[in-house]
Amino acid sequence: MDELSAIGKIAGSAMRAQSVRMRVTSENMANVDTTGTAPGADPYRRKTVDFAEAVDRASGAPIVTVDRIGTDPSNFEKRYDPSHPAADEAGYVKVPNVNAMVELANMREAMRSFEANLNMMDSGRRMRSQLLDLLKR
Amino acid sequence: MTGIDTDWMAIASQKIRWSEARQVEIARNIANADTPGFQPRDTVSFEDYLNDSLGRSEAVRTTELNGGWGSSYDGNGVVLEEQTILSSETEGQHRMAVELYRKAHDLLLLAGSANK
Repeated sequence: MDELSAIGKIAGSAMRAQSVRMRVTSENMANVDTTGTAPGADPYRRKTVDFAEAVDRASGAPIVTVDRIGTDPSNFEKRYDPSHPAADEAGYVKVPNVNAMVELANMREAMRSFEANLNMMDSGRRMRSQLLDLLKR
Repeated sequence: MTGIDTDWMAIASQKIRWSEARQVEIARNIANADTPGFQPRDTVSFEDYLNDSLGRSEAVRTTELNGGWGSSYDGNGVVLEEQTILSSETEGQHRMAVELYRKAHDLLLLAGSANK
């Protein structure tokens, strides 16, 4: 395996990992108002993504994978809404521990990293075409 | 060999090899920009690589990236801006080496066609 195709493998794996992060972030955003259904039940719990370095078995290239999709253990906030089906005896409803601003920032960061990897892939491609141009004559 | 010194081509091809290895290392850093605890690496300088290999084709050694621009709270030392600069620098050096190789080749062709 030559060096320049390793660049494609590495950047590709990172873009994949970043898009998983994007997916999880949009999942959190979509569920920003998802409460429980039974009285006192827990609402949607925010999901997190961890990345880890791994080795591609076929080529030996150092790629990036999603290590695990975990959950955010932080506490739920409570909102006073006695008429809600999920309200407890005191009239409070637990709302998800999702902060829309944090998710938005997370999404921007994922996009930025994705673009950086895309540029890296493009750079590897240009270097390869320069080498191939040597064969033209 | 008299006339054209082909060491020139050898050095150009070593520079190509070195810049490819460096670009892979940068790709790895950028890919791990959000991996907790990851520390960026870089290849040794071209001069050190030449001294290492002395004409043999050897794998390019890597070291911890020095002069890093700082790290984030999760212990990750990759700064995308820094890596982007390194990457375009490396691409430029690769291009230069490829052009140099082409020039050397053109000169050889010229020399070969002169006594036809």
